[in-house]
Amino acid sequence: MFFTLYMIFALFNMQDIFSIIDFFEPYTGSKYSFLGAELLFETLGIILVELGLALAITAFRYTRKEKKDAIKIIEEKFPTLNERLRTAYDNRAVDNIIVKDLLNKVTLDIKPVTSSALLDRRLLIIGIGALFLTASGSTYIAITGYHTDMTPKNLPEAIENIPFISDKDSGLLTLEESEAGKNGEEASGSSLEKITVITIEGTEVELKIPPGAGQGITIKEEGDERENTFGQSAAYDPEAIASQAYYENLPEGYRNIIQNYFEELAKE
Amino acid sequence: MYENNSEAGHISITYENAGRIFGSFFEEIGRVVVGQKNAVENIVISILCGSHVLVESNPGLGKTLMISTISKALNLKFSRIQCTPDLMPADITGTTIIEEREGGTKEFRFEAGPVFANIVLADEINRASPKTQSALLEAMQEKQVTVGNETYSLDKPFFILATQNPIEMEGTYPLPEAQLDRFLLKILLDYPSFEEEKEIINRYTKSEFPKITRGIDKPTLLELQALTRQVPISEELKERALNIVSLTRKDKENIEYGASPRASIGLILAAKARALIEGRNFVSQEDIDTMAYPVLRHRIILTFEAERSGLTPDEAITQLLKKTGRKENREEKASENEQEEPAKKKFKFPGIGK
Repeated sequence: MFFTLYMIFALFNMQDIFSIIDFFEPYTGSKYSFLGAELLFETLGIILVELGLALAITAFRYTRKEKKDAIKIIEEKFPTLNERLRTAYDNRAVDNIIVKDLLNKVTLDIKPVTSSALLDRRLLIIGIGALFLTASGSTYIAITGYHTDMTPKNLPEAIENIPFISDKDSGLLTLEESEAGKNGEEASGSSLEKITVITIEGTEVELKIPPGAGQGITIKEEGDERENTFGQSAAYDPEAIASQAYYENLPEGYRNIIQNYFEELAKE
Repeated sequence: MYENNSEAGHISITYENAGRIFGSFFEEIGRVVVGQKNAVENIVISILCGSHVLVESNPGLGKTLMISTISKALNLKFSRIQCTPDLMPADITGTTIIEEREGGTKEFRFEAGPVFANIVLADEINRASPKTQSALLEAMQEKQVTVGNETYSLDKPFFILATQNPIEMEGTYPLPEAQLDRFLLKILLDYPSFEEEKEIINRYTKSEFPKITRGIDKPTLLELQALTRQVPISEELKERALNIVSLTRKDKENIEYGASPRASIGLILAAKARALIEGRNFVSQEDIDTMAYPVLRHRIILTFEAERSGLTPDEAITQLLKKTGRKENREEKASENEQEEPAKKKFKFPGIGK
């Protein structure tokens, strides 16, 4: 269980979680000496977490596991002891001739039975195989440092990308089609395309606000002025704007093209 | 003539020889009684448990011969009571009589009845009146008899084999459930097979009838009775026996009235006795499952619907055993078929649905 958890935690860079948690953040990056080796706080912490989780899961599985009857296992594997072993065990405290005879005979017959008879060989082989695989995987990851790009910080994003969990395609804004239908208007399509904000009976009004306009639906009346608290920004010299792809020295001919473009724009 | 281990007086010697004792005993019985091995075994089981048996069979199947042979083989006092409607309790228990002695004095003297034997055959017990049947009850349960103000103990071992004729039910007094419960086993006798009947003819049409020459004496029998209770049983099988009996009370679909805790005790004791007879020093599941039939068939009362559908008590018991996860083996299946067929064809449940 420990090796399995180590592989999972190492693949997904779970040690980065300490940098997210405020309590542990100050300690991230600090080194501690452990058995002659220098270990980062994150490494030490994640190992302790893995150990704790492994113990907890193992203890939980052990308590949930159905207890096996050793007598039944022995009786199945050694038919000569069938029913006799159980009877002898249940009556071990009884003192009479017949029970003594039974106990003596069962004691003789049980001598060939060894403790390995109680083992489930199939499960043992599977367990050893799983241990070998997980130990090999853990060793490989520890030596090569192989890991994915996923970190605990990416978890919210990863959860959103899981199908049936994210709500991107649910369509939050919907208008009732019947309202437009009542006024003779054709019902608008998706709310992301055209939104009809005003209807006048008998008149076709073409007044649409593109999505993301941000003002919502308002009806402007005479004399109603919007309070303008925003300061108009100063006009800027187009030539002074920094571009993401800014070149100090443009190729020959490019400067003239750009200058002519902006001059035309200013004339319009 | 009789197997006697009392010179050593040691129960351990009896135990060591138990297998041989029973083997020769059944062999000896087989010289006189043809077939009926299950019936003989069940009677011996009941004797070992210190209880009693009810036998239901058609006339002429050798019930009297079987029980008298067993009593001879056990060197026990045998008496036979032919139950009739006019039979009085005093005819069974005995009565006080006035006896004149020399000198002209008269005094009361108790004259013991036929119940004062070790093995008593009560033939056609359902023909006796309830008053007479109840006189037998005290003897069966308490192993004693009360006459007037005096109580007389019966000699040990004491065993009653009662019989019933399933054909002639008119004018009979069916045994009530309380009385039936006191019988450990109910045995159903079937007609012998063709080969068996041929053997019967061969043996009993000659001038000399076969006789037994050896058996078991009383002290050995008493030791065997003590050994029976010492046979160990596992907790798992005890619970199995309890489950079987408790299912008779829970299965309301087929069984109207189930068996009492007396059946649980009887089932375990009978299984122990069977294990001892088979030469085993432990009780196996086969013992419990085999003895479930004779122990329970007279203690359960089927529902009206179950009877109307033709279900027999043995079939109801088979269903219960399947519910408890029974492991079937060939011997049990054969004995089941042997028991089920007579239950189906020959015998009707007394008193209802004739």
